[in-house]
Amino acid sequence: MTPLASIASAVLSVTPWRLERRLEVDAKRAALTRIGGAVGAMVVVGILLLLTGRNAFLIFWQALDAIFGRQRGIEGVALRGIPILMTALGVALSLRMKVWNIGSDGQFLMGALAAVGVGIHMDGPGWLVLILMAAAATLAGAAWILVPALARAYWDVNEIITTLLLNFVALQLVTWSALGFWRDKEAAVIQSTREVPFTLPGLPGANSVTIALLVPLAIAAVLWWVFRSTSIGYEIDIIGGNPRAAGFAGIAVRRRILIVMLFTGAIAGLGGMLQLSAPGAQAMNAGFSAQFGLSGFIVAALAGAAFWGVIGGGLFIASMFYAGIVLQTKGLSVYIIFAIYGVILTGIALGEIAARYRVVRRDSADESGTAAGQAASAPQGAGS
Amino acid sequence: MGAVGIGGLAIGGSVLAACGDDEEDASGAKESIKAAWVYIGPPDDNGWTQEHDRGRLAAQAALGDRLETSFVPNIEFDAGTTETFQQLVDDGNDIIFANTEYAGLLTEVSDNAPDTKFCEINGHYYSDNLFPFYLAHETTAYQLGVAAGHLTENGRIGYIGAFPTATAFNDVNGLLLGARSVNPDATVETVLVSTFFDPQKAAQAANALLDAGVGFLFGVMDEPTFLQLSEEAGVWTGYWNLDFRSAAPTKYVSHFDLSEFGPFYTEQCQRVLDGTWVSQDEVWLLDTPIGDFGPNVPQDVQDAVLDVGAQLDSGELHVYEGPLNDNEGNQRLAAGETLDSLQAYAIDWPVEGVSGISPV
Repeated sequence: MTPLASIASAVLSVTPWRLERRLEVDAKRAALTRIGGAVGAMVVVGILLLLTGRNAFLIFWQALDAIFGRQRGIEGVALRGIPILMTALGVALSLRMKVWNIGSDGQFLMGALAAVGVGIHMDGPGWLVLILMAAAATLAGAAWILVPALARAYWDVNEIITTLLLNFVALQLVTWSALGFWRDKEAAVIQSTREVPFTLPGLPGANSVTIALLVPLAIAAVLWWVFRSTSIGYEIDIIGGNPRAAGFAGIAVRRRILIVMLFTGAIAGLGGMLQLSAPGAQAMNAGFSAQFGLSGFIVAALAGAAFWGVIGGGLFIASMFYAGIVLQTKGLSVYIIFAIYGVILTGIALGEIAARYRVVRRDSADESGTAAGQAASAPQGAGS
Repeated sequence: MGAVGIGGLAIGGSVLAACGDDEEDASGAKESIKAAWVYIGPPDDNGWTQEHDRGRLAAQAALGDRLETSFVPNIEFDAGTTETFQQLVDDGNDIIFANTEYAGLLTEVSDNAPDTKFCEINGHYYSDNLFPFYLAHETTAYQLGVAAGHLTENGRIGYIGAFPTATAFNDVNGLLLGARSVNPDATVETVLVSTFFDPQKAAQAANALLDAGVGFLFGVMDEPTFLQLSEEAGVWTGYWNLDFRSAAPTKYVSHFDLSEFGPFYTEQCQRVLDGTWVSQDEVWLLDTPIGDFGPNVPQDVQDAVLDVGAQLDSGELHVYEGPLNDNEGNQRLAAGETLDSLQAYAIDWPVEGVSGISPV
């Protein structure tokens, strides 16, 4: 049971109802409950804004206008979305076997750093350098999770701690590169590496979005197919369900864990290279990742590691962040905007619970309604 | 329903666009303009951003109805910053000021917005619609250094910096050279914390320097935490941004006076109104005089500092005058060579006697 579901269950324990886990969660219900959660949260946000004397209708209008009223808004969401989708897809892949990669921000940064290293030192045809940059980023992302992956696969070291802590190491390396070995000596206050002179080709009709947008879509499609139609995906799902049983079934669990973790790092690392094509991001500094790894993690967790859900949820969260930036320029305080993010994410998380559980009366499960029957139902709910 | 909504939005957008254009007459002069400020911190930080916001309000007061101002606080160096600038351009701002160097995050937008003017503090990029401005302050740091040389026995100065940039080099070099003009054994010990606004990191750095025994503590932090810690430790201190003696009532020496922002912002907005705004090909230097002294700074020290200030102003004294070595022992200025403020704007080395920061 997720923490939020545990809290919901605890709150319900003082009422005559309780949470009961659904045996089957179909995709349509999963999508609808999350959308419902987001919409409900926005209603709550609107009421809170009105109660604090702000014009909620104007604020929502400004947000929608900023995103959908013009091409720049749609492209802005896509630009924000690409790094979030990449880190989210990596995390979602590892979540399929209940491995928690909290280090996608670090893998993203190391991927970008490797790509910068190639981009500022190599000369040659642009397409070739870009391919080498992508390869370097993919390898660097995988390399950054190699130690946590080996430790998790072969010595059962908790990957949450190891991957998380490596984020800080990666950030320090980026800062060092920007202050030291790859520093752009022209810039003053923001320390940046030198700029990469190569960029990906633009999408037809777009002003600033490049073919980078196609990469997460393609990866989602491949992952979706792998998990739907191949034995590898099936084995990973079995490991996620019960690693011991998977071992008895003859699956090489440790090797699978190692390889899947390397892939999650590789996807995040490639995301770092893709981000180098975003406007204003051809060089790296300590602010290169606007916590994309954390955002990606939230998306993957809320999407329940469903790959198309990651795409939909990632674009939604990217729109939310983009609208937040626009609203800041309209005078809405950044602290209120953060509070709005929080309410909306909580709404989606409640929607996620609503997809997997239903609320039932305690005595409907146990007709006698005795205290013993209620006591028996409680640990069952908490343990599921 | 979605289609109707989007159609309505498009009409709204075109009406807004039309409003912005019809005020300009043939000479380029305008009835009224919109100006926006992008701040690295909150406008009530008791320091850097507060001084910029005072400058904004001064421009507002000077130009009245003809100027509409807005500001966006807490804009950090990350990928969202480009979108912030773009949005301000889309909102029809005629001129946009940045109170830190956003470099590529800003120029990405300014290069594609030829009708909007930009001024970026500490910037290094020049174009038809963007030029940098800067506070020439090595002379102010020198004067504070003279005060520190008189006030401390051991001549040890602590400095909390953010990044190893020209601003920081001019701070530490000015402090050191000023202090050495009084006490030839003076030193500057530097701690860089990679941020301008993080009271916790500033406090850690301040405690480290105070514990190490510095006799004067200074920093380029946007907020005054280190002043309070200095006061508690009984160590002389000073501030970058404004008169903040209330944070260190007994140990306050002085500060850099940043009140030039108001006149600068007013002038730039006036030029846009008049249609006479032009970009510059040299950084626009603002004066940064030393502020009022704290109550416990002896009169003879105050006199000595002001005397040095007058000599620097008249040009008979230079902050940077050879022979000068950097702190790795390489000679940077030969005997008799000097650097003026424009040259100091590009300085990338600390002088001998400064520790904790290296040449770039």
